[in-house]
Amino acid sequence: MDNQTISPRQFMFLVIFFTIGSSILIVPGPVTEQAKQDSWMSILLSILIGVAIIILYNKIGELSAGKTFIEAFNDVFGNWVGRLFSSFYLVFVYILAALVLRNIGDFMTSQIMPATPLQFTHILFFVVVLGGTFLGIEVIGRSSEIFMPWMILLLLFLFLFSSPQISMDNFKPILGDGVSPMLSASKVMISSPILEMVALLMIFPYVKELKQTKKGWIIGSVIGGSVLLGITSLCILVLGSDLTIMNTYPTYRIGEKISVAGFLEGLEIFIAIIWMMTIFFKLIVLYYASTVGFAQFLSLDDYRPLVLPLGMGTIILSIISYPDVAYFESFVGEIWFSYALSIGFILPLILLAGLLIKKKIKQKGA
Amino acid sequence: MWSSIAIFLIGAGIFLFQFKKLYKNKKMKELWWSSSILVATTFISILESRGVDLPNPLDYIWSFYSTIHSWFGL
Repeated sequence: MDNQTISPRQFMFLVIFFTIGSSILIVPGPVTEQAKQDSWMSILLSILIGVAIIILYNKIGELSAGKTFIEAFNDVFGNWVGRLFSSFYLVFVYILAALVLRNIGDFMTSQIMPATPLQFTHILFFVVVLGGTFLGIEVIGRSSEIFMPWMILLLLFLFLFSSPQISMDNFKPILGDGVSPMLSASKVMISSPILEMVALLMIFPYVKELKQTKKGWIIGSVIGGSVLLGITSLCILVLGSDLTIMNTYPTYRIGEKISVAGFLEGLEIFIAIIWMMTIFFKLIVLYYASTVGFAQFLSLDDYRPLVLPLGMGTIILSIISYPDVAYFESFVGEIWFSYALSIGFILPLILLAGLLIKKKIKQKGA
Repeated sequence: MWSSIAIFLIGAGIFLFQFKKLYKNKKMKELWWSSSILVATTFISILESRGVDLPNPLDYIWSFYSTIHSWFGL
């Protein structure tokens, strides 16, 4: 399919970008809504559960021996059953790509360019994603290396300049509502981005050095998770749990509150740049995974002929997939966890069982 | 009306761009699938631009998982 490869370091950077991705927009509000000032504990718990899930993905990547998730399914379960399972996975990744595109579109049109039609924001953003996907995983990996220092710099900027407004009292009372809201809130981050990382199994075979790749995936997700932990904690410490819940984009509000020496103000655009970078990489990984997946599903030699036609579909799906923010919030709140769990956990478990049985049969035969 | 024409022209442009390369390299299977998907997505895009109420795929996922939730009493 694609002879390109990326290094474990580049893969780790992609994992970091993917983890932060759109979750930087989505996670702080809903987690705080449920766990209030204890949301940092929920995220910490999610990171720990996430490591266990990534160990499962790593095991699948190892047993698949250079095959993508779709190829491994077809290999283990045969053409028909394998394709049936693969289709569920493909639909999930493709819809997720459209939803992530919509996330950035909603943010741009509601906060930065309110007069620009949503469709144009989507097209402008997605054209770059299409270009990146067309060029292949090597280019995507190298781009992640270029953009990583910028993201670190901007994050440091955010944490440093918003620190004078931190009030540690906002963390109190600790576990004031008991443990159950905190446990329940951890579902938010487990569903997005942890279970969504199943999409990375389409890239896993293109990474050199298996051992380093496995390590990179775990480290990358812990670093990405820690950034989300830091951002959510910052929201609570600066804004307090009530204001964090009330704002659609609480991190953006923190940016608005930054005031350096009384003359450097209105720096929320720096936050927007971080978001655009992380969402861009999440989107490009998802779109690459879905086009390569569709090509393998259809037994094509090259995925590139599908990039533009499927891209047109992604843009239109991002428009029709949800009529308004209220619909999206209800969908994410009620359904997304179950949906992500069935595709990001149950489906990989089925594949792992199949791979293990196949390995045993092979060993007996030898 | 103009947006529908623009979408049609974009679709036609993508087809011409792909056709030339794929036909030259005799990749008929790729040509067939990319053209089929392109026709479908262009058609849906034109319908959307004309204001036709298209079915939302998330509604199907929602109803499927709601049914499962009700089975398990969630």
